[in-house]
Order: sequence, then C-alpha cells, then structure tokens
Amino acid sequence: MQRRYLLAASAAVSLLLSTSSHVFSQDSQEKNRLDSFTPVTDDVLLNPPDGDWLHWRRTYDGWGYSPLDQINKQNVKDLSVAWTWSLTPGATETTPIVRDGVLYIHNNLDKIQALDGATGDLLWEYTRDLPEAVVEAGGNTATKRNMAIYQDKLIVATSDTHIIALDAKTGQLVWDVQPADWNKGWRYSSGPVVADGVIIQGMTGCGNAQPGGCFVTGHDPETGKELWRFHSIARDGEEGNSWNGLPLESRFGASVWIAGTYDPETKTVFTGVGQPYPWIAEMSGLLPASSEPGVTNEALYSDSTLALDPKTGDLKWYHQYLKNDTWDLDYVYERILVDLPFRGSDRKQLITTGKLGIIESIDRENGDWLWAKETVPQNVVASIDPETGEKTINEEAIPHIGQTTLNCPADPGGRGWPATAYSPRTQTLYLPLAEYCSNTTPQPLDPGQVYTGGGRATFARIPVEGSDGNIGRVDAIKLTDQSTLWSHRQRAPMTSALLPTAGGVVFGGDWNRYFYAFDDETGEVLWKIRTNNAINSFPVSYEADGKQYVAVAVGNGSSQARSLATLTPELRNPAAGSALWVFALPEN
Amino acid sequence: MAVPRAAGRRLILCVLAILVGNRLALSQSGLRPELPDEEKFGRPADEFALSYCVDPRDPGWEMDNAIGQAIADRLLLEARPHIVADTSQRAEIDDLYRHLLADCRIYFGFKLIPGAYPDWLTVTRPYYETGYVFVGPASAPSRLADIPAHEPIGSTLGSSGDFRLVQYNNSLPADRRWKRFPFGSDASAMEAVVDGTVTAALVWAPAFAQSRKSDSAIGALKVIASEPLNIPAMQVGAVLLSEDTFLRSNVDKAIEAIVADGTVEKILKDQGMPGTPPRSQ
Repeated sequence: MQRRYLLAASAAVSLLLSTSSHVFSQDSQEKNRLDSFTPVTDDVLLNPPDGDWLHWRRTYDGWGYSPLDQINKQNVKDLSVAWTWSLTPGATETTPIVRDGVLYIHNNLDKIQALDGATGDLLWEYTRDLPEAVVEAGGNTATKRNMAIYQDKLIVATSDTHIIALDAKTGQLVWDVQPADWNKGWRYSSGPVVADGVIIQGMTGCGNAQPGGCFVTGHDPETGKELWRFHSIARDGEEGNSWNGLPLESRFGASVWIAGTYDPETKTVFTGVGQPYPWIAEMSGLLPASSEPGVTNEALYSDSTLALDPKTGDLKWYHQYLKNDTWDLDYVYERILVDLPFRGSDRKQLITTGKLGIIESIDRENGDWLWAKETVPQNVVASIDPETGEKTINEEAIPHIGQTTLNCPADPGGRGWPATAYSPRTQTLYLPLAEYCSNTTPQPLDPGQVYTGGGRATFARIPVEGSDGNIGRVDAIKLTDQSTLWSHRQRAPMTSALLPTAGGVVFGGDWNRYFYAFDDETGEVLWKIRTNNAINSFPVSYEADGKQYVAVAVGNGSSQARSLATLTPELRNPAAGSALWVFALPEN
Repeated sequence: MAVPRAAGRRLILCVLAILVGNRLALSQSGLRPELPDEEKFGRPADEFALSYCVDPRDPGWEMDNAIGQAIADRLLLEARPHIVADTSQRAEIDDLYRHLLADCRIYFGFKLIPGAYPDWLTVTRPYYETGYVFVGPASAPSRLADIPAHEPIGSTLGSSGDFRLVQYNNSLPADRRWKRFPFGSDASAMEAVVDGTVTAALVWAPAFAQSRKSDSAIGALKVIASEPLNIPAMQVGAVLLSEDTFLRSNVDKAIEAIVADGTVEKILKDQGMPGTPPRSQ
C-alpha cells in the first residue's frame, strides 16, 4: 500500500506557527473517511448520534454512557481485537473523540491523530512543536484527558498552556491563544467543554507560584479570543472573607483540572474546583482559624460545584462540599446530571463523587443539597447532616506540622480522575474505587529553591485496617434509592473510567493490564483481556460502517495510578508502551 | 538433620526467589520516576571529569559553581558544570531525575532536610550552612518579639523556617499570635515588606543577600533578630542518584577537605554569601 502525501501546511505558515501537520491516505484510490465528515453543530452537540462520541463523557449530562447495543451481555464473550495503534510513550489519560467513524486521539506531548475508526488507518497527524523545557518536564500534564469538537474544529488545550483549534478534516492549525504562561506553573491537564457556542476551559497547576489561584476562561470558537475569566478563588468581598483573613497574594490553589458538564435547559455549565494549596492547612494559612468577626476559613470556591453562565462566566450559584480541605481530597470530578425522584418528588439532580468516595447529589437548579452515599472506607468525615449536607470533620485526621496522622482515603483518592458513569438502562451509577489510607507527615516545601513540589507532606500509603489485600473496587449504586446493586472487589487497583452501554455491559480496566466487561446488573465479569500496559484512560464506544467498537488507551505514567500501585508492588508494568486498543465482535 | 539434595536446591531457589521479589518490591516502593526514554541516556564515562549541575534560579548558584570547581580540583578531575537552563519557576523533585540522567551526576544547592528526599536520591555531606532571616523596613523593631501581636508577618510558604514560625505562633494563645501571611517565593515575601502588606517577612538568607544587590528597595530593608523564635541554621549539600555511592563517598571526602583547608570560607567571602562552613560534619 502506497502512502501518499496529500497535503501539508505551507512552509511559511508552518514556520510561523512552529507546528507540523500531515495528512495521509493509506490508499489514494480509497475514499477517505474524512470526506464524509459533517460539521458538529450546536444541535449535534445537544443530541449526538448514537455512533459518535463527541463530548468528554459523550453527552452534555456527563453520563459516559453509550446507547449502542450491538455488543451485549450474550455476545461480549466473543469480543476480540479489531486493531491497535501505538501512541507516544508516557501518561495516556486520554478520551478519543469520534465523529462519522473518524477517531481523534491525543498522544502524550500533544501529538493529535485522526484515525479511521474501522481500520485504524492514519488520516492526519498534528505534532505540536513544544518548547524544549515543556518536553523535558514531561510528566502528568503532558497528557490531556479530553479534547472538544465544534463545527469543523477540534479544540485542544496544550501542554505549553495554549488553547488551539485544528481543522478536523486536515489537522491544520486554525488558531492558537495563550491564556497563561507555562513558565509560571500554569498547566492544562484536561480539555474544554463547548457550551452554548463558547469554549470553556479550566486551569490547573495553581500552586505556590500563582498567587490568587486558578480560573476558568470562556473563548470564542471562531478565533480563540478570551471572552471572560472567572477566578476559582473568591476575591475580597465576594461571598464574604472565606480565606482566614489572608490577602489575595497568599491564596493558592482551587485548580479546575477536569472538564465541566452542561445543562442546555438552564444554559448552565457545571464545573468542579479542587482544593487549596498547599494541602496542609497550617502551611496554607487556613489554620488556625481566625477569630476576626466575619472571617471564615472555608476557602471558597475550593472543593465546590460552580454553576456558570457560559456566555458571560457569571456565577449563578455554588455549592461547597468540603471546607478547608487539608488532605488533597478534591471534589473536582465529573458532574452527572440526572432527573430522578427524591423523597417523592422529581428533582433535577447534579451528582458528583469526590476523592472521599462519598457520592453527593445537589439540585442543579439552585445548589440545594439532597443526599449522600458513602462507598470506600474513610475517616475524614465523621458525619453528614442528612438535611443540609453539612459535614463534621474528624479532628484526629487533620494533619499538623511535627505530627503524623492517619487519613483514609489517601491523597490520590478513594476515586481519582477515572470517571464514574451512569446508565439510564439500570438507573445506576458505576464507580471505579480504591481502598487505602495514608500516614501523613507534613514536610517543608524547600529542599531545593526551585524543587519545591512533592514536599508538601510525606504520604505513606497503606492498606485500610483489616484489609483482605483488595485495593481495587467497582461499585454499582442505584440512584433511585442509593442502594448498592453490586460491588466488585479485587487486588489490582481499577485505573480506568467506566463505560456502561445499552448492551448491558460496563467496561473498565485496571493497573494489572486487564480490560473487563462487567454485567451491569450483577457485576459478573463477562469478558476480559490482558493488554500491554495499565488501562488508565477513558474507554469509549462508537460505530463505523454499522459496526460497534470499544476503544481504550493504555499507558503508564499517571501519578494517580502509580500512587495506587505502591500498594501492589508485585504488579509491574513497562514504562513505555502506550497504545490504543480497539475491540469489536468477529465478522461472523 | 540432613536435608536431601533436591529439597536443598528447592530451598535455595525459594530463598533466592524471595530475595529477588523483595528487591523488586523495594525498588518500586521508592516511586523512582519512570521516563519512557530513560534507556537512551546511559551512564557517563567520565572517569576524568566531574559533571555537576548548578541552577541560576537558585540565589546561591554562583557559589555552588565555585564549590563544584573546588571539589573537582580536589578530586583531580576536570570540572564540567552544567548550567541548568530550565525556565519554569517551580519544579517537582521528580524533575531532578532527568537532569541526573541526562546532564550531570551531582546537583548542587539542596538543603539537608530529614525525610525530604525519596529513596532514589542521596545527599552529600554539607558544604556550607546558612539560614532564614526576618527582614523588615528600617522603621521596624529590631526584634521579632517587639512586633505587636496581630501584626501581619510574611513568610516564604512552607520553608523549614516557616515551619518553625508556624509551630511557635500556633503554640501561643490566640490573642498573642501574629497574623502569618504565606507567600509563594522569597521575592514576593520581600515585596510584601516593601509595599507594607506585612511588617516583616521570614526569607532564605541567600535570597535576601542576592536581591538586595540588585533592588534598592530591598537593599533598604534590615535584618530583624528572630527572638524569641529560635531558627537553627540550615545545612546545604548536593544530591545524586542513590546508586552513585562511590562518587558520593569521594565527593564527601573532597568536601571535608575544602572545608578543612579554608576553601569554602574563602568562596563564601568572595561570593558575599551569608553563611559559614559547616560547623559539624
């Protein structure tokens, strides 16, 4: 098969933009799947075709559910490898986007590829010419958990903290904007959501080099122009003084490192916010609590849901789940929107699960707290008021300088960034979980004048008391009554997001390189396959030429997965070997 | 009791398996960084050179460079400094791994803080000691003790000196505490003193010494005695990969020699750095 170079950026443009993009056709006589690409309009984003995967969690409501049912409980045992594709080595926490059978994948260090979803043929490839310092730094933020697609553009948050638009048909760079300076510590680890015609992107890396904390920006999809900026750390006078009397220059953190979800009915974007930095409250100045009248140490808007107007960035309301988080127990993850009855009346619920592994529901029209459900063992929250959701904190779990304290779960979380998912078929939430604790000892930040990260505390991760050795877990929780439908426990930590489908199966993977299909009603393992590395990404399902596929990226390098793996030292994975695995049923 | 030969072989194999298994377990539990391209670096064949890193983002980097030169001279090696060109204002300890594979075998300018380093790093003996100082405007009291309670005191966030300040301040009754405002860097803490946000700030002494040379507003600040707070001196050394035990041993001997013969004291004086040779080694 002859590879023919069809199109490249003009030399001048390539030099000017310092990027490279190449379009390939595996066979020039063959119709290129990109020829039938159709623009992704607002209406398409609101109602994606069943065979496409257009949002991070497929639909605006954040379910992560595929309505495809060709692969089902009866035939999933026959699932086999359709094709594989090697990816740039390194952390691979990615979510493919699929449109009209074309699969778009982000590789570590910002190589973006368009692949034929049926054959795995490369259609185009874009390689960002990153600054040397960014490439050498590598690490966790060289991967991106999602991209977005809108009209004819693929929207990507890059590892040098730009936002770019690529032509979805050619991979050519359309525009490039820089909301913040990588050298100052700003980072993107996830991509945007496009809501009501606006690109909405959260910022992370807001540690001790970024006074005033993180922010969310809104951008024009035609040009990338910044339309608004909302700061995720409350300014003076905004919602009182919740930062213990600290000046703005002494407030750090509140990273927005996971993409938001969107309610088109109320035109509201919901985004999560992480914890204050550094994590230990005695270091951040949030403890001891000030006795000044009108001053609190809640540290708004850390560990909250923000309800934002996508057109203006105006805050409609917020709900804070954990005040003054001193454990790195983010409430930043996916917001799942479901309409289900609660206490006898229909409620528009917003459900999220923080690192504590406590599932919490609020009313997405006003932020009122509705209910909570605990999953993994935890000792941080002593009790939750069943009417208000107010948490009473276990004082013994609060870290102090000069002491070692026990907190469960450990800092990477009873659940981490691998997303939970909701199936309307079973009205059930599926969660990838981990059972473990940490002996936490605060440590100075300054072993080197520059090398200050990682020294916030020594987190000696240990199994929970009385553990049977099982660290990994998948829970299925009925959202109609918050009962546990089933719980699958195993030695290997679960390190991927979950993917329930209309076929009645839930896909997910672990650190031990296994990719599973669970029965969505019983948790029975219906099928599994061992891959070449940790399953540490977001599986998706799509359709090409009338056939259902399941795709998942594997790779090593995620700090969250590596932290979990310290508890299972006998399970070893290669450093390199990132790949995309795609599965389908045999032809017959 | 005699053990049959075949059973003995099985026993030996079991013991070996356990030993190998434990070694693997130990090496992973240290969370050594994994670089997907780490096999391409190799180890330098520098029997006649000492490759070391110094970092211009560190206010003590020129002194570190002179120390590296002196250590190389003492070891009869060619000094091969690598001036780190990274531009990021902050980095993780894990970021040292690539430098220690790709650029140098020893990286100068690290405080000897117990428990601050992962298993895959080791530290040399100290080549000098310095510390943290409170700085304030000319009008400030001469002792920390004379700054009234509830006044704002700045501090470079999470430093070893800051830990002392936090522990002391928190041990006081609430109505006798200062307000502690943490800042992300020595520069921003000193800036907060200059603009009056805080009455005084606790910063790394070498950072103050360097900044006052180039910034007249900082140059006008004075050092305030830390009484009643006791902030011990901080020893500074270098880091290497933990497997470089032979090199570390030789560097330690060289440091001992250049301290003993007055080389370190002379470098400190020449560089105008606040500090002394280590008093105990």
